[in-house]
Amino acid sequence: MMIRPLLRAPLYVFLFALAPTISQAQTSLTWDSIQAQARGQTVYFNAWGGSDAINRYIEWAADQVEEQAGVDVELVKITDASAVVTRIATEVNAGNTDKGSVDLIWVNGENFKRLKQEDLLAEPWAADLPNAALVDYKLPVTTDFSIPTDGQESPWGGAQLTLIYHPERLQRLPENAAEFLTLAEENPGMLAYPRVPDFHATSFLKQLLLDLSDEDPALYQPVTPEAFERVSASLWSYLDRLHPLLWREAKAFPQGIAQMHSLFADGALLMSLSFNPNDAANLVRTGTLPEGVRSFGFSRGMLGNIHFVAIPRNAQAKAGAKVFANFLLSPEAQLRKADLNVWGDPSVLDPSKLEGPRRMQLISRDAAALPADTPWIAEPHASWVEPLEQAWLERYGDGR
Amino acid sequence: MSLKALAIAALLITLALYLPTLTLLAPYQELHFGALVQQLFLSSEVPAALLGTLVSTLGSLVVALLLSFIFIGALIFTPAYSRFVGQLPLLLAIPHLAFAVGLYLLLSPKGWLERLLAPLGLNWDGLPLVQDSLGVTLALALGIKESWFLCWIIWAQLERQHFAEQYLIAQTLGYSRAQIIWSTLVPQLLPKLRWPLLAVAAYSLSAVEMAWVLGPTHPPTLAILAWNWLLDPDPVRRQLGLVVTLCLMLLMLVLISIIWMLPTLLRPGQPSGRRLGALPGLGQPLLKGVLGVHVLIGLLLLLWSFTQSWFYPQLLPGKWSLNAWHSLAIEPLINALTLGFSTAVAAIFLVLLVLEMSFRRTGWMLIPLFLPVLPLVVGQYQLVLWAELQPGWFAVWLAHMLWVLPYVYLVLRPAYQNLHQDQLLCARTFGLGPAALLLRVKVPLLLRPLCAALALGFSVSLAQYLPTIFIGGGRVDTLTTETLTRFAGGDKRLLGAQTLVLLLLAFSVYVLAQRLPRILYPAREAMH
Repeated sequence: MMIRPLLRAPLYVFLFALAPTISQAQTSLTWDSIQAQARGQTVYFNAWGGSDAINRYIEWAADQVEEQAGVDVELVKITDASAVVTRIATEVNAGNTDKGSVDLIWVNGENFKRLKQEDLLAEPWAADLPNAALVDYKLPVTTDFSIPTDGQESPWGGAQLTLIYHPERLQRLPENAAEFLTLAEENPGMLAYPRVPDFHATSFLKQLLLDLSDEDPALYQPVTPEAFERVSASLWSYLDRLHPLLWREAKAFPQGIAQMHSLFADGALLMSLSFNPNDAANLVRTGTLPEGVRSFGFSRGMLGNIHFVAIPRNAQAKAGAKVFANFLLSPEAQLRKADLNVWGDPSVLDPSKLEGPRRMQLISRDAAALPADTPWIAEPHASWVEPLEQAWLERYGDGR
Repeated sequence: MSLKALAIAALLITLALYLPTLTLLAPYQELHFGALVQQLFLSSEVPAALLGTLVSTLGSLVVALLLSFIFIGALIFTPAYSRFVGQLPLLLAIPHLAFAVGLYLLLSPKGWLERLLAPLGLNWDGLPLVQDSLGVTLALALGIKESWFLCWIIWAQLERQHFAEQYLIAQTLGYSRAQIIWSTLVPQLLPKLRWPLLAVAAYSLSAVEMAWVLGPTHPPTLAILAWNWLLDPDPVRRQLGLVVTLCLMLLMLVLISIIWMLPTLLRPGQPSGRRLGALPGLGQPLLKGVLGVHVLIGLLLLLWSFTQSWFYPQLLPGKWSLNAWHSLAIEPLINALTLGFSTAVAAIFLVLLVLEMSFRRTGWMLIPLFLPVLPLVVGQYQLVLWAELQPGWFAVWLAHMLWVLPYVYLVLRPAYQNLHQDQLLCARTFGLGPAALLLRVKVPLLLRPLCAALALGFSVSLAQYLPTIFIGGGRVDTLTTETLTRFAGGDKRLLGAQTLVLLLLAFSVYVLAQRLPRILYPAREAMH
């Protein structure tokens, strides 16, 4: 929100100047003293609250840390992380440097980039967590959309773009963007993607862009106007052809993947979309999708990324937030998170660092989930998101 | 402390609570309008969003006005009239959001209506019944919802007028019912409907709850566009959001002038003397149809809340389950209850005390009803930042008061002014001081309006979305915010259960308010 404070007390300028010395002192503390400091703190954990399964999982994790470490975690259910980033920025700009309303935030990509660029993050801390040793560093956990995390956020889970279909209604699966267009030509009105700037919509555009441009290396560099023009040209001519063949001729778009799931389940669409490879398996169990659905990806691979938790610079309960983040990385918490009956979010731990039964649990996948051998395509540099969304809205935003 | 001092304190508190109406313009002083307005015109979304906003707002006004005149016109002086008037408070108590969600379940693609008509071979994939790009469905839904409010206002007006005699005279002169309503009732009522219509317009223009569920999505209405932009990471986009809220205020000015000229524009002219034949009675079947839709969407909410899986083309759920009810959280209910009752009670206290000051000019208390919600919330946020108030229950309480106060005032002022002066005089001659007069005479005499104010204040607080989410920083979940979160989450089972709780709470408070006088004074029938 672009509201400036009406008053700016000189006291805050003073506190602001002191802040670096205080936080330097904090990083030298050992884990034991962090734990001691955390006891009794209240951590406001801001996380997207649209899924019941996720909310229940977070409540469970909160109960565990309360019991094990005496940290009280309050889940703040949000609909949009960028709004919370804006709130943090507003607080810090208003001189609030140590009693912010957010202690830990579930974040990645664009929002992390903004937090980092505007210097809204706590000093590096993620590598100091004891459970950081168990993380699978073969996954892209140290960069977030090509931006180094520098230990200012701790990995929580993995995600990969996934297409969901029903084998009885769709026999021949499209293996790339071109075949997706052919499928649309054969079944007009039966394919869709959500409206930009929905996160799944932007991800789908990036997947198409990577496919159409043959993973142009420029996509992994900060965007420039020339590169954008050159690389995105094929996407626009593709979408110009695709849109008239989409659901409601692209004069309307599903509001989000929830509506897509519902349209898909009722037979109005041939495919749905998710960023969780286990989503289809989950949704069948809860009765949202019919029995027998399966997941697939393009033959080149599907866009994948890691989601993280980060501590804002002005958090009140930094120690408590670290203790909670450490618990979220524990094998206990990660396995439960990966359990389809709980949430089904892929773990970020390295199976080889765990012992027998737990390792097996980590690598098994449900039949409805995205096949585990689907290759990962790394996210383009985060700076591509904004121009991509802008250009899309300029071209197609008026609904004509 | 004397009553006088209390009343002054109440006035000051009320004025402080109304500060957001003054700060709402503060954020604009730092904007560079030239560049921003240029960008606004370049944005492809704004013109289409403006069109959707205009269609839904103007459409809702037309639909609400037409329906209310048709319903009242068809029912007045028939036995069904008093039954209809009795149903009105219940219809008014339905939260906008609950109505919208119910309609969504009925009309959405592959929704219940499409399933019902599928065997007939009807297929309207090309004709969207919800979230159409012009906002027609939103206009109809808002219009139906607001028509109960206008019917209620018209009923209250007719109670004070001698319309029966006019009707009788016109009837004996041989005019048909429709002709009498159009040429005598409408011109008399229109000037009195200006203020209620303004409140309807302000709500339709900038409330996001119903627009989110039923309105256009590509692009959305201006209010939702502004809301999204205000929360955007890009500072330029946030400034654009502010400019759009300013546009909403300008649109409100346009609407004010249109509504003000309405009685002149719709002047029926001198009757020509021609007697038109009776029109076929469409009003009563139309009302039955609209009420039927209400019952249907109530049933749909109920069915979805007990569903495990329910796919097209099934007309009834395939598998049943109690899961949705098990997964409901209790905090939103507790927050809605505590906020609703405490704001309503506090507002009643403040309004009564302000009225006790016997100021002549208290009309300003209605101002928030005629301002678009979004700029007011921006103004509130400005103050919250300035006061360094932590987002939370209390901040939300303060924010809700801005809308609870004017509605409570709306109910209490006429009742307070209609108190019989001779009764009060009589009480004074018995030696009652101002405080005793208020507590022992006025309050008991005002018991029914007080209960109505309690119910209305509660339901206003219950319905608040933007202030709750914005001033509460997302920390305070109420049934309304939770219902919209469920809508975004897309699980119709949870959505059904959550919306039903919202609806049931609104109904129970209404029933409680109606019964309260009977419970408090069981022996005095005249007070019931």
